[in-house]
Amino acid sequence: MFDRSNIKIGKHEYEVLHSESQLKVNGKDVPEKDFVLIKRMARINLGDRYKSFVVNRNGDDLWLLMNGREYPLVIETDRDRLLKVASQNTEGGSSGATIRAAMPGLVVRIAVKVGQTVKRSDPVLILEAMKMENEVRSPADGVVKEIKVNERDSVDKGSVMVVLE
Amino acid sequence: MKSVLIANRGEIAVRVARTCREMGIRTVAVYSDVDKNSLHVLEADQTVALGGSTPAESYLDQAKIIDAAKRTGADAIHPGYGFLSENAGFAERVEKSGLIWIGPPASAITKMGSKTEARALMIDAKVPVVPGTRGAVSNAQEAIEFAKKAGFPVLLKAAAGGGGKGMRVVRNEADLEAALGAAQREAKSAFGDDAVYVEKYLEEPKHIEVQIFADKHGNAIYLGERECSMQRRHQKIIEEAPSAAVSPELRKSMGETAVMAAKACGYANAGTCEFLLDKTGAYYFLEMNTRLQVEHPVTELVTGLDLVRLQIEVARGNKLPIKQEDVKLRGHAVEVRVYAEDVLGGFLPSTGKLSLWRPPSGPGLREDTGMYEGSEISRFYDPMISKLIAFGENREAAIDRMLRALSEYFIAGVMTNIGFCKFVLERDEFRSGNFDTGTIERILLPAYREYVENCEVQPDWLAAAIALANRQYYTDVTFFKRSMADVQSGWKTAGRAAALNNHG
Repeated sequence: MFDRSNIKIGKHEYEVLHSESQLKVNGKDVPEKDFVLIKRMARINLGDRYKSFVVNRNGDDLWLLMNGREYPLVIETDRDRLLKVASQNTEGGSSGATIRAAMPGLVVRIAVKVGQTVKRSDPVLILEAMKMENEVRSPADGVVKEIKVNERDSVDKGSVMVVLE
Repeated sequence: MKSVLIANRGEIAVRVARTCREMGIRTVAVYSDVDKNSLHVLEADQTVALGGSTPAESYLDQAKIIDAAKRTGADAIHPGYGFLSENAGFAERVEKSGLIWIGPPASAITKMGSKTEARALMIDAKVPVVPGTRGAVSNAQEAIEFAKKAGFPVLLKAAAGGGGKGMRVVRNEADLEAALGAAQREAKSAFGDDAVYVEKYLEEPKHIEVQIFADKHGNAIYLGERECSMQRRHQKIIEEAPSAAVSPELRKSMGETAVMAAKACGYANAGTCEFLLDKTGAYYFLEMNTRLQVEHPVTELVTGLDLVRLQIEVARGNKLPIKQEDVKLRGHAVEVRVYAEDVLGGFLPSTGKLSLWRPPSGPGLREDTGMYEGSEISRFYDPMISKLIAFGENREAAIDRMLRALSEYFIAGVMTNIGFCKFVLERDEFRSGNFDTGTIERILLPAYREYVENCEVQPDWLAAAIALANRQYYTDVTFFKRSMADVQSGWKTAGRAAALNNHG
């Protein structure tokens, strides 16, 4: 019985199948290596050198850290696929774009009103983080359906601020 | 001086406390609710809660801080950098309360604190300055008039500013009014003062600053320069001492100019004159920072001096223990500011818990931090995790050492700029020394995006190891070793296998 993980490092995809006794990547057997995971540090001995890496998670973002370098990482396991199907079933079918806070911050000004038509890249609001004002622009053409924040509100990363339709 | 209240937080509070401890001085830490478990609190001899979470309710509340000093019997206040460090009113209030202010006289902070007043003073002292309006502009029309005369682009700057806040580059007339409004709002919110003035924007300059030190007896010296041109969003991320672009003659000239500037405002204690250096070797006074700088460690490493100790000695009324001819620069130091930020998402702060933090160590490294594993990067403060500083006998050695250090560095839980800084340090733009304040945004950031998005194909064993590591993440097993059956030899030696077996 194999566990399946689909891994994407940058633009490159790898399908990993692993069981107690075997590891296959993209259908090929991978020679055994010494592999140790202590806390979240992974260390692999390649014989002539060793490599350490960490998988870093921040919200939904995943990064591979190795040799002081970061690689964009996507991991999808059987378990992730099950969870995704479960959550899609509960979310409902809203089709409009949402504008989420890309960072935690303070809403300084709201430049739109409910019902207003906006074009892609129109300024929607100003979000202040670390005392810098950052203009948040519309990701798409649409009509402002709902504004979920007020000026002077403080928002968390990822929270929905404006809904378009 | 037997007891110092440190009116700050994070790495600088920890750093100041360390020197105090070496000098046998008791330390008092103050903290906001958010910071109650911070390193600067845990390591202080005595602590006072200021309450609140925003800076205004805590580290900027002058009355609370002076009251804390009184109640704990502190006889001096060290302001660190940021917060109240360049607030002349506070410096004056501290001294009126009978406490020693570890910083320059309030009068010098006032003169240098207003960028417009400082410019006027420097013009009178024959220090070269960038062309600009003599004072703050009261409306967009005034700014437009200057810009038309001097030519676009122009730079809007908060008179009370620093750290890139309240600053905007404007390239054409149409954008000026909106940019002025934004700069004024930012300035008001960051400094409580919306005065903004206009300068000619110099294209592709270097940002070079000179560390000066003056005592209360009229002695002033310079401690060489720092190269601070590697900036993003007008904030420094990599600093060096000395600068590859500064010859001994230029160093002397800039140093003497900086000392002149200090004397012109009746300066005492640590200060920094910031200059823009253009491609012809001409330099212009930008501003004077009347406090200890974030990047002071690179100067400490190449001069062998402890700047906080000097600050305390000068505040005690002692003469500077060294003269200009005693200042000898040795070797090279590079500092990387490790930030919790999303580099490719526009260098935006990344908040969260440092779930894993394995900093580098070893020969020639110093790291100043206010964090530990498990610390929280909150939205309330600057997201700097630490300052990592590498020292070497020359520039090449210092950079190689920093690259080694960054390759050992592992942080998880927040996104960091470690990968980006390592990329910058490896590039010819940096290694050649031939870069300016715009190099990151013009060249290195787009190149980094390309580098990250188009990384090469990785070996199969790495994908396999990631899958295994990820499985452990879910099942929360902290140790896993695969069977030792050697399918294809040449990958490991018997000795290494045996050593790893012992772990099992």
